[in-house]
Amino acid sequence: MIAASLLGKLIERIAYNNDANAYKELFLHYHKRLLNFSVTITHSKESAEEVVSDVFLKLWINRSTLTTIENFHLYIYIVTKNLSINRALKEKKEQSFSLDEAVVNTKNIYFDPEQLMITSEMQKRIWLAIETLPPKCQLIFKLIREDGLKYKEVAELLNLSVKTIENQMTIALKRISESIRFDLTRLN
Amino acid sequence: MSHTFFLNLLAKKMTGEASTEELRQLESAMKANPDWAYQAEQMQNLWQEESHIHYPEAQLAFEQHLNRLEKAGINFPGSVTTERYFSTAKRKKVLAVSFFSLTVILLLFAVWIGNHGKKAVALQSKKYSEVSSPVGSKTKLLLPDSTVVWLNAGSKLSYNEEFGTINRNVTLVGEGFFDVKKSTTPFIIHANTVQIKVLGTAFNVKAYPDEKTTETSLLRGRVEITLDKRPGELYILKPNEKLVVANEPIGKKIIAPEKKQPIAVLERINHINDTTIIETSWVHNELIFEDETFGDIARKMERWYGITIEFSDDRIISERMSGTFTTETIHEALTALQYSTKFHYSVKGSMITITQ
Repeated sequence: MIAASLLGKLIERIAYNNDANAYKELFLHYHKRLLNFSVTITHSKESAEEVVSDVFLKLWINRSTLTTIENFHLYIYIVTKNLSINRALKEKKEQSFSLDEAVVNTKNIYFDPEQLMITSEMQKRIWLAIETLPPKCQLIFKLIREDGLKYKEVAELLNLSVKTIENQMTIALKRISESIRFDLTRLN
Repeated sequence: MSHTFFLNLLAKKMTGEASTEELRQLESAMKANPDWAYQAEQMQNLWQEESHIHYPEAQLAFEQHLNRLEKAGINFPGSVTTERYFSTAKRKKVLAVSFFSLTVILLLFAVWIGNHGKKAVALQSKKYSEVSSPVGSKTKLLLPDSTVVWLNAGSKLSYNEEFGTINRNVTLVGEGFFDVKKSTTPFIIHANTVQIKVLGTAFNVKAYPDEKTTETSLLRGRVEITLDKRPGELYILKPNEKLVVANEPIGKKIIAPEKKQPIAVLERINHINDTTIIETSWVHNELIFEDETFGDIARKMERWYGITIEFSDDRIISERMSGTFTTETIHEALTALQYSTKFHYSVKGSMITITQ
């Protein structure tokens, strides 16, 4: 995860110097994360690519105001969410959007077996555990573990209470710990 | 404490959300319950790993993003970046896109090292940097000493932390165009069995392990080349000269101790006209071949397009052709080649099969 101080410097470079390098750095840092987040709402990689591009287009146009944003990390997710919902509504011509329709690609949740010294079979079981979580729970888990958002930030982003985030994280951990336990009993 | 509450606290601890009171509670719960302590250890191990950033995808997406900016009529400073040595308008644009891309990669890498610093140091005593350019794409790098390197598709450049301080040693696998920053510290490239030593100059090195030769083409300045097999000899290249060195056949030991066939040949650089040089054409997005066999052309196209080409007929491999491709798709390129040599091709995924 990008350090807050570094993120701040990047944003200053974009806002004050029109720095193309800083802009690109920001894009490369967020692209994959925002793309995955947008896919959970738009259900389409092509749409999500365009949404992310639109988010960054907006950032560039409004670059002079970027330094006034209090929490940029949260802000960029909120913008992505709003543009994704607009996009999803436009394409499906539906009137509402529900979190329970979120599609989370859990294969993007990264566990490196070598680094973690776990077997690839165990890795598969962890994935399976996460995959079988309810969509909302998967999304919350991913935003916190992969995207480095705080409980409070996820709560704000998804219009949920912090208590709900806590509970969903507990559920996710429970499933994962069960999948690990299974591994141990099998070994014995 | 219930197991659920224990997991609730554990999640908070791992995400940095726990208060000191909650941490204390968690600690005493684990002391009272060794099984939970073990679970906590396992979960915390899983938590350490950070997701990897996938540069090639993001790079490509950024280039598409810049296209959209341009289409939307938005002025972006990246598209006005000037280039020192290649100056036609089209090249400017292509290079402008890649110009800062590697500066950024290196910066991101620095960020990554910053985040993973502790881990990296623990694993390796000497920090090692490696940049690779996947098949089907090119990459421009700015090294710590301000040397600029273009890496052709399917190539890899690596150096360790001593680079820029103690020495300027790099290892190249594949093809790279180097514009070396002048310095009193020699810049040394290890490429296959060849060592190239320079002080400040521009040149191209082609050292794909799967090709028969390693080529060094000099545009300006001076380079010194030594071969692993002949450590005492020094080859000095002048501008517009090219040294072609035979690679050791892979997996085959030379039985005869002294072979008379030359291992190094000095040639001239191939100028097509005043501004176009075949050896460095890839840098400005041109795939050029002149009177080369279909087999050699296919290998270049594989890297260029990120595909695999197979021949179902050996005779056609030795057909000779010439051509220049820039923005052509693989289909357009193959269709163009069909004008000079008769062949058929079929596509299956990223595999192309050429038949007579």
